[in-house]
Amino acid sequence: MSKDSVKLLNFWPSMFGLRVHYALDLKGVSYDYQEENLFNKSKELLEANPIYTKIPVLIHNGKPICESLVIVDYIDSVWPGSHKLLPEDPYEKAVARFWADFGDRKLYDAGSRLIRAMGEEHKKAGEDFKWALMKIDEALGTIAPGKPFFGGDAMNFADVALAPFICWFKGYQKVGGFVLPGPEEWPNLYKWVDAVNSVDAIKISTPSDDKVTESVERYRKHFTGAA
Amino acid sequence: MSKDSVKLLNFWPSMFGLRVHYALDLKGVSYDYQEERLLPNKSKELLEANPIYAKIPVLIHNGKPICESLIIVDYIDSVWPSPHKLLPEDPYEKAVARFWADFGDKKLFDAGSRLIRAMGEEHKKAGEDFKWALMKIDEALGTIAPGKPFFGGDAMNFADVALAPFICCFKAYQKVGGFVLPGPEEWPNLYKWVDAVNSVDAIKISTPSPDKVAEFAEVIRQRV
Repeated sequence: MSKDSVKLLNFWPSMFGLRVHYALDLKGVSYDYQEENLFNKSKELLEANPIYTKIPVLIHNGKPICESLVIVDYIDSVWPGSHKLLPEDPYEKAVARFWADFGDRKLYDAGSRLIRAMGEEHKKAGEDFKWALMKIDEALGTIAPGKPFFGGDAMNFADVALAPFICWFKGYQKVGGFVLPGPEEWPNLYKWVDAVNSVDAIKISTPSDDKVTESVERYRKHFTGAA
Repeated sequence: MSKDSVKLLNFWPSMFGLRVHYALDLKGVSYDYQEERLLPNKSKELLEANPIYAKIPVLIHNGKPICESLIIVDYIDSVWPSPHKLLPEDPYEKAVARFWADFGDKKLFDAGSRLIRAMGEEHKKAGEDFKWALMKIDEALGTIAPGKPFFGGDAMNFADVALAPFICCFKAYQKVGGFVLPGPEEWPNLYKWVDAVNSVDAIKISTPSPDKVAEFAEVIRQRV
């Protein structure tokens, strides 16, 4: 039986890359890791992802798969393992996909603006970021009441898509100049954060939030000349 | 056996809504259609069905709302797999189909939006970006399904359904963009794909006329 060749091209602070780490680690898949310098992208990255030239890229037996949620979906299909990330029920699957996509549309988008924007736009980015977390708190209470994850007792596609933002909370608050509401306001969110952080597979690849914060502050300076 | 209740909330020029039409029509699913007037006020039903984004399209199936066009198409494919699945069974082929569907949003729709809303240099760049995106689709068709009419080979798949709605908007984008798209000599795969899509009976059911779409686009452009 020939051994699968699985390689992840990534840049360590990327929350999109972290989604792929989480999916592979939750399923116990062995893989090689290649850190990419985004200011000097490798020939391998450019050939693997000619359309976007972005990380993460998963290369499985020589075939590249791009776009983090497409990759997670792929991993779930190839290695269904002991539990599938995507629910079998079509409606539950649609709900999981919706919240994964919400992570890109609302959470990542607001976070990006927290790093790049100035003045009023920057202030709005902070409000939008908090609104997005509030919606996630509400969703957890509606979709899986009394359970730690969107997936109930175990992480599912939505959890994997959203969990990488957790290690960025400190950084976003720093550059946003605000403090996030706490567990009294968002009980479901904080239970979810604790539950995610307790999963052994999640601990393998999650960067320290101090290290991420350092990066976030560096990016902010790059855009604005100020911390 | 109780009858399924399937309703699509949409706004007729939306290419996202058209994806849902295409998926339902290709699978021969019966559904009710509700045209949403997005201005001045969205309907109570839409706001309740999609409280996060308050956008169309929304599919309401037996009272449960599903939002976001590609998620809806995925849902339709799961609930009504016959006569043929839109998503390939093979994980890699499925990933390729998802990638090109997503490309429609990230690159084609994005450039098209800028063609309608941007001015000056940004508007000119939007035109270049739009043409680049179509060129990439032409190349992809040649690589993924050489000699076949669709991304899905002989029949439309998830990528085809995601990208086909842009076809009836080509005229509109050229009008507001002030350019003419390269023809079949430059993009042979793309134009064969366009002809193949337009020949599918199910596609003809809901596609608005390109002239009507162009008229609508010009009205929006004038407001900008």
